[in-house]
Amino acid sequence: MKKELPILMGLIVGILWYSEFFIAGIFYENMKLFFANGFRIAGVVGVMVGIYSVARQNYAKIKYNNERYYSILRVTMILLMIFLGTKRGMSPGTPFSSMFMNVYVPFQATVFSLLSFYIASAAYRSFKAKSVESAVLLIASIFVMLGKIPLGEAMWSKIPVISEWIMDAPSSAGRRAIIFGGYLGTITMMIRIFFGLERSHLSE
Amino acid sequence: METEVEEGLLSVSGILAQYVQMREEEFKKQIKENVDGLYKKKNEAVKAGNSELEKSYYNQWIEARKVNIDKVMTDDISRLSGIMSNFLESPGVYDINHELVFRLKIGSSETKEYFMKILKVKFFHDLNSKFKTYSRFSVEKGFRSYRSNVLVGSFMFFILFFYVYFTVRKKRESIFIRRIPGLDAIDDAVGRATEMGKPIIYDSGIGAFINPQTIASMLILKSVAKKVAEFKAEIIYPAYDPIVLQVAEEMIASGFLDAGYPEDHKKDNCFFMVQDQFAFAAGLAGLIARKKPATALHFGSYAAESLLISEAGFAAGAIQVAGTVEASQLPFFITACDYTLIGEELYAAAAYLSRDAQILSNLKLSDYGKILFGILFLLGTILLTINSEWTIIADILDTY
Repeated sequence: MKKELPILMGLIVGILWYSEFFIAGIFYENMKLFFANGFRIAGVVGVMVGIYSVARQNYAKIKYNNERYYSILRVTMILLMIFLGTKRGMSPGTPFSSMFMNVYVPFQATVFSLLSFYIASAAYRSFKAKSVESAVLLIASIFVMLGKIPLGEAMWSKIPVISEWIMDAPSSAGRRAIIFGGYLGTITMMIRIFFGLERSHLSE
Repeated sequence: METEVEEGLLSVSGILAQYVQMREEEFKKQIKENVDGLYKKKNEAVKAGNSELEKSYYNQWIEARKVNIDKVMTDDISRLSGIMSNFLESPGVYDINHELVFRLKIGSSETKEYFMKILKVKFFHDLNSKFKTYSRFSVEKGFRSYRSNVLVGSFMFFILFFYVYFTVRKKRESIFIRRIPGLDAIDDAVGRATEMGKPIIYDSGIGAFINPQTIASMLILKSVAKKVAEFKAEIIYPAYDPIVLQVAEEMIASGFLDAGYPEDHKKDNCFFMVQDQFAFAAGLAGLIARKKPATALHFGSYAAESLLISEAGFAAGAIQVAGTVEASQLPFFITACDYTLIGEELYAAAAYLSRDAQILSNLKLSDYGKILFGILFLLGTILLTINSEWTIIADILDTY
C-alpha cells in the first residue's frame, strides 16, 4: 500500500493534467489552483526538511569537526537573518532588507561575475588545435569572436556574415539535435512515471 | 453575499461571452480573408519573380493558417474581461505583515480596521480572477478541437511505448547500447577515489524533483552508490532541493544495500546546502576546494553555475564526469570536465549502468521517436524549402 498508493495518485493526477490540455472548463481551473496550493504546502514542508538537514549537519560539524568556523559563520548568519526578519519585518528599509540588498545580492553578483574569469580560463584550455576537431572548433570560434566586434568587420567585411552563418546554420542545427534528443528522453521518462513504471522516487 | 456576487459575475461574464459569440462569423471571415489575402500576395510575388517577397508571404501564409477560431475568441474574451477588470479599483496593499503583527502586539484600536482592509484586498483579488476565469470559460468550453493532432499523436506514442516495452522485456540481453566513454570511466573514477582515499562528490544540479533530468540523475546516483559501496569509497551528496535530498538519501542507501554494505552508508554525507543558484555554486565550489575529491560527478539540470562548479573540480584535480540536457551548459561541461554525457545520453546512462528493462525501453522508444520525427522533419523541411502548398506536415506539427 505504501508504494501502490503514490503510484495510483500519480496516475490519477497525471490523467487529470493530461486531459486539462485538451478540455477547457472551470473544473480544471479550480484543479490548477488546488495543485498550486498543494505545491506551496509541499514547498514549505520541504523547507522544514532542509532546515533540519542544515541544523543536523552544522551541529555535528561545530561539535566534532575542524571545519567548524564555516559552520559557526553559516549558523550565525541564518540566525541573524531570522532574528532581523521576525523583529522588524522584511519590507524595504528594514535591517533584513538592507542585509539582503547590501550583503546577499552583492555576494550573488560576485559569484556570477567569477564566470567571466572561468570562461576565459576554460576557453584558453579548449582553444588548442590538438586534433582536427579542435582545429575546426578553434577556426570557427575565431570567426565568431571576430564577427562580434567591430575589428572583425574592419579586417574583412565577410567576417560578420561567416560568423552569423556559423551560429545560424551548423551551431543551431547541432543545438536543436541535442534539444530534440533531450526532449524525446524527457517524454519517455514522463510516460514511465505516468504509468507507474518509474519507481525511483519510491526508492525501488 | 458571496453567492450574490458569484451570480452577478456569472451574469456579466455571460453577457460578455454572448457578445464574443455573436462576433464568431466576423472572426471566421477575418481569418479566411487573412489567409486568402496572403496566398494571393504570395502568388503575385511568384508572378513578379520576387523570391524574397514570395518567401516572406509564404511564411506569413503558413503562420496565418495556424490561427483558429477558438483561440481568437478566447483571446477576445480575455481582452474584454481585462478591460472590465480595470474598472475595479484595488483597495490598496494590505497584507499579513509586520505592520499587522506590530498592531496586534500593541493592541491598537485600528487592528480591526486593518483586518477588514486585508479581507477587502483578498476579496478584490478573488473577484478579479474569478471574473476573468468565468468570462474565459463561458466562451472556451469542452474539447479543444485544435489540439486533436496532439491527442492522436500522444496516443500513438503511448501504444508505441508499450509495444517497445514488452518487446524489450523479451529481448533484454540482445539489445545493443553503444559504448558511452563517460560511463565506462565511472568505474575507474570510483576506483581512483578508493586508491587515493578521497571522497566522490555527486551533485544533481539545481532542478527540482519534477524535472526529468533530476529523476534521471537519481537513477544514475543509485548505480554510482552501488559501485562506491563495492569499492569501499565515500560519496558526498550536497543537495540544492530538500525534496531531492530525501530521494537522493534513499537512492544512496539502496545502492549501498544492493552492494551488501548498508552499514557503510554515512547519512551525514547527504545534506542540504542552499536553494539559491549562486549560493549553491559557491558552496559546492568551496566544498570541492576543501575536500579535494578524487572524482566529481555532475548529472542533472544546470544553468549558469555549471562552469563555476566544474572549474572548481578541475582546479581540485578531480576526474569529472558531467551530463545534462541543457544545450547552453554543455559547452562549459565539455571544456571543464573529462567526460560529458550530451543531451539524451543522460537518460541513456541509467539504462547503460543498470540494463533494466524499463529503462532500456526508454532508450528504444527515443530511437523510434527520432526516426519517426526525423522523417517528418526532413519532409517538412523539403516542403517548406520548395515553398510547397502541401503544408499538412507543418500544420500537424505546429498547430496546438
